[in-house]
Amino acid sequence: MYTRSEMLDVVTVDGHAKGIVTRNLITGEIDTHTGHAVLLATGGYGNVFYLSTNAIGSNVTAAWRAHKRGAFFANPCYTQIHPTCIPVTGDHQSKLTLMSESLRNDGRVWAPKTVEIAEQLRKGTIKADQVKEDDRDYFLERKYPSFGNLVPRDVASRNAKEMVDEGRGVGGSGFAVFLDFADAIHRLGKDAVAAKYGNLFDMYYQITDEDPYKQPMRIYPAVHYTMGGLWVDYNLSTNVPGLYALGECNFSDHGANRLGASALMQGLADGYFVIPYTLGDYLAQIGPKPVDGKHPAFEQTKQDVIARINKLLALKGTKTVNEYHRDLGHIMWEYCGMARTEEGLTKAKGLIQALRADFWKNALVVGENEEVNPALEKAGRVADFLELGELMVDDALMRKESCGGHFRLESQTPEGEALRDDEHFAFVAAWEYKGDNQPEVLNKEALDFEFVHLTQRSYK
Amino acid sequence: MTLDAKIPAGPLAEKWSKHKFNLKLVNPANKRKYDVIVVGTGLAGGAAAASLAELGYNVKAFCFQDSPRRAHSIAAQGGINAAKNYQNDGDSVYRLFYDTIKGGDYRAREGNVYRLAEVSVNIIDQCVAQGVPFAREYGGLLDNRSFGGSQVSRTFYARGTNRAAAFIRRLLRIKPPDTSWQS
Repeated sequence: MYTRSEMLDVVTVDGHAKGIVTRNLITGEIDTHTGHAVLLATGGYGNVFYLSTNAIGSNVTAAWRAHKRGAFFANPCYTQIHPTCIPVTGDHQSKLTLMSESLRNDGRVWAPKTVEIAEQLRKGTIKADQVKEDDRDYFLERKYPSFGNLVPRDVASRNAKEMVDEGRGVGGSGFAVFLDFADAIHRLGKDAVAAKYGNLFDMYYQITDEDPYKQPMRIYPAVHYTMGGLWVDYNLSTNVPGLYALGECNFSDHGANRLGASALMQGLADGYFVIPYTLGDYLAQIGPKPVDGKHPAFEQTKQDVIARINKLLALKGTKTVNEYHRDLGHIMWEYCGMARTEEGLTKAKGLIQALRADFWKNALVVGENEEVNPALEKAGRVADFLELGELMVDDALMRKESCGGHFRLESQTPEGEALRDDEHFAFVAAWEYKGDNQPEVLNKEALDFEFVHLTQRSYK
Repeated sequence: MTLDAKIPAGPLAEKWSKHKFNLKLVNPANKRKYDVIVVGTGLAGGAAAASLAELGYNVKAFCFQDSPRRAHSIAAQGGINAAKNYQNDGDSVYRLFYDTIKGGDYRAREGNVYRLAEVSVNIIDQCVAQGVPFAREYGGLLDNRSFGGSQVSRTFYARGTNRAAAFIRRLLRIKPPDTSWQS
């Protein structure tokens, strides 16, 4: 077990993955490691948005380095914005907190019926429990009677955004709707509700200083999961032989929107029940001959990593890496978030390119390599996010349809639901890296549906 | 470049079993001669590292955190879907497959998603065998709750503040062989 070791590159020999290069985060030592196969289980890239429910340290670097060594990156624009998170409070915030979707089993989502009432709530002249039943719009129950509050995440998030866009948002910022447990407490009693959700209620109370047993939670969508990731085949192998991707870091099973409680299912399925079979097939074919760690590819890749670290450490500008990350997050959220347009995405592409160019001129990376250096760690990760961000925008521009979490305003049904274009877009978009600042090449894997009939998704 | 997803032919429900049979095997005595690098120690990486080490491969696991237990999987609050149909409310492997394909707005592979639904039932057995403290009903049976995009109750979960931390903790009780401290 190697802890505090960050993978910074994949070593390939004759086109096969044969090892990795890591940086020891305590000493700064750069090491190479050999293996007959390399499995990446490095999670998602939600932190490209700066604010997300991901851990602060979550990053795309391992997957992105693999991408730059030839592994295709599939469907990068498919990101999941989770409907029930604690709303953003201000610019100094570094992270968002999720309130489990299970709360929608018993919580009812609502917004005030009129803009006037919403304004009073925002100013604090009235409180949520003073809004009469007739003045509340339980919009998910109203629009989707059969699934009600348990519509999928993409649908719930878009509807919350719609309320806010109409001026019916609540909370100080106006970027929130209510998740109300009054009915459940009345029906089941406070103790029963506490037994089910007590830990979540406590967490909400500690963060907001509001008691959800007494007044409804304020919630708003936030970036939570990324369905896109490294392209893999049925064996979880990327297109680089010997390089595998498992869990959130691959793209495989959730399409354009993941359902709740399916992430753990997929991660454990990949790790326990798929890879032990499929990896054996590859290993049996290449044979047990030891991997030669003296092959020049190892030293070469190590030197590439060192050169990049030195390039980062040479940045002695005026703006911290964190500020670049936040700027990137603003661009992504604004133009490549819950609603996307051709115009906005085109603008975002230019903004990201400019930001990236500025980063490599004006960023400030303090300290040295041979020490614990969070600024250096973060700089490497943000540099990769600045490249990934542009690819996400390219992917979102290319996919002119709406599907799942990818909502193009140009493509919606009369009711405002995501309108797919199966004729032109029933494919996986697998992007191929072609060199720094070169446009990536799109490879398509057609999706054939033999057993399921393609229909407009309906949760009414 | 043409992309071959290598989805096995044949009926949906037989694809994975047939494929598993067709895959080559590594002789038990040879497994220790292979080094497998696993980067990331969340649920996917942890499960892979533990399973492959149990099979006999020489696993090298990496994480950037202080401890594998700090991987972000521990933050998961919801639970795990599985088509066990313990609630007798109409669930099946096919329904979990269908819900997942539909929920993904028809942009995922049928073959992969069916396999996911198929092995979901094994996951729960595996976790229970390892001692994951899933929430139980008063009578002792595993409890379920519902999540978005489905009309059945098929989510297995853990109570209390530990949430998925409990899963990781149990999972990592089976550790990959650790030889790094010797050198």
